Amino acid sequence: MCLAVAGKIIELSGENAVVEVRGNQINAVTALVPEAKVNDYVLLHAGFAISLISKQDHDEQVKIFEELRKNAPELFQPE
Amino acid sequence: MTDEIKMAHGGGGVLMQELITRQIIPTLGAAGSSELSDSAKIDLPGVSLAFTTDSFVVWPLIFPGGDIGRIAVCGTVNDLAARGAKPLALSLSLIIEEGFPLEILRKILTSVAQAADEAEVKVVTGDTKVVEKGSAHGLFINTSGVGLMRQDIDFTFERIVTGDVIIINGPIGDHGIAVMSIREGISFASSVKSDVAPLSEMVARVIDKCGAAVKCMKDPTRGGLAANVNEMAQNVGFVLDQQAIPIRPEVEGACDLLGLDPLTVANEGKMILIVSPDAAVQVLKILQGHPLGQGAAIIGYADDKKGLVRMKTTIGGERIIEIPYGQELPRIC
Amino acid sequence: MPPNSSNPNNPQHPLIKALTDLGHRLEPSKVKIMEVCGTHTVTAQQVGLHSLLPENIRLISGPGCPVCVTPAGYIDQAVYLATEHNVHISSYGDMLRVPGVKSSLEDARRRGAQISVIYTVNEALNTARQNPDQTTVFLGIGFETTTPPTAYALQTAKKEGLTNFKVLAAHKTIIPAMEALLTDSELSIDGFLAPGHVSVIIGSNAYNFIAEKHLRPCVVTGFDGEQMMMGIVRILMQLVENQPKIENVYPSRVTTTGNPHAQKIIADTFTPADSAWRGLGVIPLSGMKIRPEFAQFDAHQAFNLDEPDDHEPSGCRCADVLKGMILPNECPLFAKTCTPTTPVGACMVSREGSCSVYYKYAKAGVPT
Repeated sequence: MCLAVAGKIIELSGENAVVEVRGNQINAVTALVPEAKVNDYVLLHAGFAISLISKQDHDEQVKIFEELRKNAPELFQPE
Repeated sequence: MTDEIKMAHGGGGVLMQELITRQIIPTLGAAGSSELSDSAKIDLPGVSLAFTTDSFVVWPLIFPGGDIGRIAVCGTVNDLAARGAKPLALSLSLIIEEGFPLEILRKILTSVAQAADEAEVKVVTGDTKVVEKGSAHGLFINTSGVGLMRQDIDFTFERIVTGDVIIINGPIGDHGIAVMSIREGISFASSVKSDVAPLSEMVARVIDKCGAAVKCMKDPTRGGLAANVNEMAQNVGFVLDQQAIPIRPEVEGACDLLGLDPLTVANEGKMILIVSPDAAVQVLKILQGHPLGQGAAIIGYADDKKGLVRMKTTIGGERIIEIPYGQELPRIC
Repeated sequence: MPPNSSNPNNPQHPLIKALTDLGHRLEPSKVKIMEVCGTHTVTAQQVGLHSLLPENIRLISGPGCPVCVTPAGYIDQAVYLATEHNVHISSYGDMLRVPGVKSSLEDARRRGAQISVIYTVNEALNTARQNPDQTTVFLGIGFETTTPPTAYALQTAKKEGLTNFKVLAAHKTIIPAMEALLTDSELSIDGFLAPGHVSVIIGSNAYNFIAEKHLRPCVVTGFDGEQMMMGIVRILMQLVENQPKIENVYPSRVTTTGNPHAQKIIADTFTPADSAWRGLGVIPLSGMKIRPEFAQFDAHQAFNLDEPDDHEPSGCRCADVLKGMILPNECPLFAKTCTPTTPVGACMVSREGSCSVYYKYAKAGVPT
């Protein structure tokens, strides 16, 4: 029940933002993430930004994977 | 079945199939045909015609990339093209709501003319009705079309065998997302334009070169890829390769946003071609050389799991692709 | 030629091998991992996750689908408001087809009731603003991710004096449900995947009790195939090492303490109350009731509505499915009287319901 997508704030006026999600623009309210600024990436759910996303978002995911690989190399031995 | 018609009965999915197979065809009985294809074959001495009809109730009437006039022509032309037929003539029936602005009617008729011109087909007959305010959503259009079928080749699902390859001429979901982006209640702006286009000439090029190596074709309109690939999976099953299915990032983004499955989103300028494996590369090249087929790709193949459509996902899992219920709604969950 | 998994252009994802190895190491134990988020249920189905899990590892869907756990009578209340009080109902699309005790929203709309599907509660606020002579009632369902938007709407309505806007609140919280599942002696859940976006709001510390009190692993997981595989891998590793803890593989978006602004807006607008979960019965303090300061926007009060009835059609075993006790196909109605086009219980009607997801595989004769 948590359909949310990542998008970039391209316009912001008070609590009302326009967020761009891969070429689609949608209105969103930033009341739950008041520190959000233009050009920030946010997680969008049902018309509301619910979290800021760091720019290193993708890198973080890769980091978790690499950490796992390092700590449990036997899981990733080629057959 | 329920005793009232629901919106989903028109959605191109399970419910519509049920309506057709359990009510319409049996009630028509001997007066009807049991064939379920998009267009019917009429045999005459020395020649076979394809005959099809389609009604257009899209709302809004004008959307990014086209309007109801353009779809009305292309939808019917593409149904003829799916049977390998050269479009010969179209009829154009207008049901206009009282109070409809003449200026918009003119715009839509201009689109009809332009599309017919592109498709090299003439509108030879028509009908015009006006209904009271509230009885139609602005404008409904019906077009029927007649086309000349190829001698000695028919394109039906019965011809598909294990190993045949599935090809589509470009990215999926453009039309459905373009229309949804301007519907009221979902205020999102999108750069996505409808892909609505007449495909008869593109298809003709393929058949001219490859002939009977093309087994069956379908334009994945309502219900998208999911509904239409399932419809062809009668004597065979299909395996789709998610990685290979072309989709624009903006369409994918919009689907993520609204909680829609892109496989169920309508297309109006796409053709699925089921092709014999040794002709696949050639078909692909011909499509890619055509302005309406530049994004063409091989997206899967047929196997012997009759009636079952599966997809190999990008992480290597397998999921079942079923016929959608018939009305995909934006979700939060 | 048909693609196959040893095609160099399509190598097998390394986490798949990790899953297989860990499954072997845990043999002969059978492991039951539960996710409690409808979006996890859907993601798993869409990426074909079940086809990648080893035989002895099973991912089951718990009560994480708001549609599935909202009592049937709630729908009837909404229909009643639309038909008897000429109210305009604004609802997320998820609820439209859910069968109430007597009717669904979709059925009511067919008969002329004013029911619109919206993507965001802000659209419902707009409807209310633009139609001052009619009451707009917003159906507030969902877990902690969706409660803050409803809270915001209530606060906005109060600020603007939008007296024709009301909320029929049925929000629930997931932690009490997880606690109830863990203390249910009939169940044996070996680990939880925690819902990524609920966790954005409540923070990963909210799950500490699972490891500390109940000694089970719990991993906060996001919503793509790789995230879910990673979450399951981490749970299996904890089981192998017998070291249950709370982990988070979604740290770019989930912190230990969550979103304080969202938590505050919920606390300012709602108060925990006992709540009935469709099929599961009442779970203490698992629901959210509108606070007295916002009473004028509370549809329950405005229209004198009691707590909605629940109604389990005879034979329906949604409750046991939701608890992960039985598989969908063990319900006597499954695929017979209860199908996606003729759903009896909520587990079948919702796209995220376990039964509706399972049905696709069962129909296909694919073993799960």
